[in-house]
Amino acid sequence: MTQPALVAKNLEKTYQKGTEAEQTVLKNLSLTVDNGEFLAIMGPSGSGKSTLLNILATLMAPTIGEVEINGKDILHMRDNEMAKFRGHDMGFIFQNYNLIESLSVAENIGLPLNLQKVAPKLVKERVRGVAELLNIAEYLEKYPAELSGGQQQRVGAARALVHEPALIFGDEPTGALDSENAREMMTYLSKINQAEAISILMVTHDAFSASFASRILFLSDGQFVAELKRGTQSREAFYQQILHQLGIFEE
Amino acid sequence: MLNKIALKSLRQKWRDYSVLVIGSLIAVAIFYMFSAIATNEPLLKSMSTMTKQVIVIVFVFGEIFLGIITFVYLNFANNFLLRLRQKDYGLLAMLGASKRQVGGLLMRETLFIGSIATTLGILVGAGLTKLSGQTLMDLIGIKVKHRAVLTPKAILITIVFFLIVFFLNGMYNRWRLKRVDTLTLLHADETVKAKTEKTGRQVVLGLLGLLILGGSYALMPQIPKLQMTGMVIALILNGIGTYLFVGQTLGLITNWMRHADFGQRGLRLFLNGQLRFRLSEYKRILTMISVLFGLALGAISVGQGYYVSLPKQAQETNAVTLMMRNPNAETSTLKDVTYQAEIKYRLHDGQVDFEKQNLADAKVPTLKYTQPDDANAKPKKEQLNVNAAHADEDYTLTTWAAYLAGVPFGAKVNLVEQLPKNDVKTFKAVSVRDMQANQKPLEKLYAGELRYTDHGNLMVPGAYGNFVMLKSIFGGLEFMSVFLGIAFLVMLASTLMFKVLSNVSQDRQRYQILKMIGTTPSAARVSTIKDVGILFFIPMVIGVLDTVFGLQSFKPIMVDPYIGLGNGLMIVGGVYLLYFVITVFIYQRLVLKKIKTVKAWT
Repeated sequence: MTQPALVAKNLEKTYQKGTEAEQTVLKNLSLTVDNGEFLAIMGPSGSGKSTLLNILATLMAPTIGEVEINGKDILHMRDNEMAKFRGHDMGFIFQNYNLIESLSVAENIGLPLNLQKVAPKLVKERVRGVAELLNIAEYLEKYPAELSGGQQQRVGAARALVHEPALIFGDEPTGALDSENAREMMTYLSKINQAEAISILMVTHDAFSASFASRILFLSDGQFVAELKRGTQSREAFYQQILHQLGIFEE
Repeated sequence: MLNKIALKSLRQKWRDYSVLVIGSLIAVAIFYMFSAIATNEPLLKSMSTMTKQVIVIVFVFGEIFLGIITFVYLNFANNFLLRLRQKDYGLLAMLGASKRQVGGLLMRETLFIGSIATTLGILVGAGLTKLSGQTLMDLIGIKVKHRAVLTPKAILITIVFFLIVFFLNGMYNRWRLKRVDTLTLLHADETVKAKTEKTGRQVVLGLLGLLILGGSYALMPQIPKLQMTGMVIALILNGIGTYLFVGQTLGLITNWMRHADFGQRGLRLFLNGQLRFRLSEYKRILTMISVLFGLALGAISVGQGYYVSLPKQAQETNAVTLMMRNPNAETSTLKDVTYQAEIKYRLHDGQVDFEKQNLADAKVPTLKYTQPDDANAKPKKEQLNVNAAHADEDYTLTTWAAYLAGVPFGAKVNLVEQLPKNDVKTFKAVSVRDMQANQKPLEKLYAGELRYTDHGNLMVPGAYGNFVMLKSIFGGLEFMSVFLGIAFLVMLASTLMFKVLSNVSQDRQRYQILKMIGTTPSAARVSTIKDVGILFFIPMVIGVLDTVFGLQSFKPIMVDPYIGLGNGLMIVGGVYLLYFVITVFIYQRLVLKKIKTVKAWT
């Protein structure tokens, strides 16, 4: 087996706000994302989801711990190195799409490749490729403001995908979408995961979205409290299993 | 309640407001300084009547000009402010505030800012008056001991003037607000899609703009003939031409860059998108900035030009550098003396007698105008022929006579064969090749003559005396032009700064996205410099062009209108560069600052 897409060991994050007592948000967390895996992390607000994602996505440093992505230690990189690494090996999908509204859809999608100074012809081909995969090829010349939320999120996914990263991070990718669009989005994410063999790490509080993943970790008070694997069961059955698990937490 | 909201908004958005306050503050300060100088009694008393009149006219004119520009600037700056606050106003309107109340809120904010700017501006202006007063006195060559920098008259004029300006401005804001409906206000932030225009249309309009701009340039040398009408027409054509040309050309370039391979690398695409998206606002602001830049540079260049060319011009006004009645005048310290003589004369009944033989021996130099119709033709220097007809009306002799007789002009000259031995006095006349090289000794010699000038009502004959008088006139002009130029510049650069900073909230998010998809910090920094740089660079180029052509209109009244351009460019370029660096610095701090928790993740 090849090396895992992401390995995090013994992560701890403590905040100190003014004179208040120290607050430990993450407590000795370890996790691995296997190559080609679709991992979802679930947890209520305040459980430390966002902090974990920020650390794993190189946007924040942990107080203690190690993170390796694609075999590289990401905590001891210089700013420029880190930026390049982000541009090459990682993709991001945001809850609020985060498209640049002054650029057309095609320009938005191609931006990561432009930053790497890929030849324009190649950029065009690649953009068309992912746009077709995500069924947004007809909107390439439009601007984000002219698209619906679902369409914008697909553009966001295309941008995360275009440079063929090792790992895509998703932060509540369906958080701003209605159920119909959420289903569509998650179907596309599964497609990306399977067709392009790209690992996905997604944070969500929505059981329906999580049911598209192959494995789910439940986070509570800075610790993983449960794990579910989909295995060979259908998505619908997995969904029921997740709801059941959440029910146990409620109790 | 409204007062509270207005104050709160000021506190929250102080950064955006501060640019407006500083811009207005500088306008107030310079206005105050002009007022303080134009109304300063001890200063005015120390000047000769002629200088006094010129200085007052020059400064009052400057004030009026400054006032108009301030008004335009405030409207422009307020435009951005209005946009900044639109959403809040929309929300207030939603919550049931009437248009009148919202309008009142806006008026209050405007007046708050106005009073802060006016108060601080007067204090800064007093400081400026103190500093610049010295410069001014050096420039026009006078010395005054007690000068008050805070004069009630100047303070009153400044307060009344700016109260009116800010009030009118508030009214204008209110009127603008009335025309927009609540929904538009609420969604003010959401950007609409960029319009794509047809290339053919753009080319035609761009060429038309170039043509109109060229037309305004062609008109500029004709301004002296057409006078005020010409100036207004040239200014209007210039504005329209710049607007069309800059807008359409930028549109064409951004469109071309979008599709060309050149525009695809790194952050170029992003920068291009920024520019393309803001094009419609940029067109207007760049036009105004270009015109203001041209005016600022022009004002400074003309002032500098007059001043730089002054010694040279003065040298050509008289064949003799200085005439000295002071018997103790010591000319041995002068360098490069080309002419020196002692001349005998007799004063009786307000008339002056010269001895023909004495004048002939002294080889008195004089200037002869061979082409009296051409103001720019240089006079010929030749020796005075005492036996020629009308020799007693010679310019050199009559100015000497006026000075000797103690009348401003028109003393009768008699050329006699022999002066009576017992009633003869003498004076000295000297010429040097280069007045500037002899600045110090000439100054000393001139000081020795002051007791004969009847408190400055008489001119000491000679090129140096002319120089002193010209200096008092053009020194004031230079002073005013430099400060007026800097006032223009400060306002235009503040407007630019304001424009850049008003985009910060949107841009910050964009740069955060860029960061997450792999933009290196250095690339982001370069990108911000370019982003701001484009906005500063374009008006500079057009403004310099405007000045180069605009200076043509000064040809008839200046020997060489371009002589001050170098100095002007240095001053304007320096201030402009400083503004650019500050704007980039602030912009980078706001847009690229290290984010602890990333807002994009929520």
